[in-house]
Amino acid sequence: MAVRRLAARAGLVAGMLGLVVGGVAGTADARSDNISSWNSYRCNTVNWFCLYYSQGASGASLGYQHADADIHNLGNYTYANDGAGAGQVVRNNAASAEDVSDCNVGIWYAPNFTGDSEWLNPWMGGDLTFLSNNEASISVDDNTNCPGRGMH
Amino acid sequence: MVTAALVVVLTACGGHGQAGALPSGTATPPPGTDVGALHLPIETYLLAPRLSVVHDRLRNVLIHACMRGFGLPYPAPPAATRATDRAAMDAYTVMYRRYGVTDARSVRTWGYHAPRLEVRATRASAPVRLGDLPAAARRVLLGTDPASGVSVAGRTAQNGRPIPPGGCVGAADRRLAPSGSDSATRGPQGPQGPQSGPGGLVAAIKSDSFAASAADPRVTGVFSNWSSCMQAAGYRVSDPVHATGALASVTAAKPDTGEIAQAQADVACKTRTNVVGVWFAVESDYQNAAIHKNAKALAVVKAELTRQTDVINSLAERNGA
Repeated sequence: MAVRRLAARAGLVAGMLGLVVGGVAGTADARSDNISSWNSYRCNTVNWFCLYYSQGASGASLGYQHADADIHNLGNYTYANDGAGAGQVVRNNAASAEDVSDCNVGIWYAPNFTGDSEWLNPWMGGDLTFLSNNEASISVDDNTNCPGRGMH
Repeated sequence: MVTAALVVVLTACGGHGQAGALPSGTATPPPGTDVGALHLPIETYLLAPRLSVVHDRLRNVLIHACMRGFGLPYPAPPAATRATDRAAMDAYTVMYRRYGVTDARSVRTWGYHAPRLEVRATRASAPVRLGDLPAAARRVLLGTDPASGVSVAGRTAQNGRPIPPGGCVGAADRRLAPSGSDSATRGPQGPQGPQSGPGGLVAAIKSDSFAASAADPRVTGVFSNWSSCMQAAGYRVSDPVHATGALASVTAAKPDTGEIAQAQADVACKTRTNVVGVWFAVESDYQNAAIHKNAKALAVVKAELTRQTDVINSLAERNGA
């Protein structure tokens, strides 16, 4: 089943490649203006990071503030009752994220921080373009700024 | 069927930026090859892990200096050690845990857990969350009003200095950006360089090849072999990146003996069936095809990468990072 999901994913991403290339080759494509990264603004500041059901830090949210700063399997978490997607399982169901710590945060395709990954710099939010609706774990992962934190 | 469609997209002729013949198939590394010795083709367009670590350290140094210039509190960057540097580089190494656990020595201690650094926490170096900072500091750090999220760029801070666009974070990122470029060509910036951020071309190729190769029959074939090997060892698991599905211990602080035993069987079966070698070769082929198709755009990325490398090295020399 996991392989079938990957195959579907492959088709989606391949379709997007052309758009991305257009952004690079062009000069004024909005996609190239870093629109999918912003200074975090919605995630409650007691958290390390948040995931959102929709792009642009919108829709229902999951904030995580426990000291371990990692979630091994997003299948064990559901969104809060605060927007579209409320109450749904988070795994394979997130479109954006925000980092409200001074640590890099990684997001992975598979549980326990394996497979392909994407990053958020400290204090930044972003749309999960390639792992959108296809993510399973998230953690502080930054041995430069935050050694020993996350990925427990 | 989807895979076939993908190959058409990746190898269709006539797209802009193509040059020369398609690269030939990648040789399959032999069983047991250390993933540290394997480098996927897209890594040519990413900052080297060492430079990504320096980039992160510099970003923190620059933000800290900017905040201090406003007379506002911000944690000093923690001191680097050989162990923290090595672990930080692992996180930026594309092949690290990409195909699941592969290191027999590591799994003997850590099972499926990521090896964890034991760091003596100090007040000065403890990680900081946004809520740990006073509102005045948050305003200058991000260049937005903490309550409304509206930009305060250009307004004055408490000490009378104007707040830069994007706050001290924005100022640091502009200092670290490749010189002589703009965001239109740099694209989504990530810690691994131009176009490595969300939506970037380099990130796309890296993610796309992972998905396509994991669904390729050559790879699913070795997944089946690996799964049979695991079953013979007493574990029912379908593919290597989802090997921990039934293990409750992976969320504990340390692995238990059962987790370690399964992880050891996992690595042994990967070696026996050469999952890593086959998957790496197939994924390399997908990446080479995408690189070939996007040669013109990637030439721009490469030039940006060279400029950013120069900026990082120059800043590192001046800041001792």
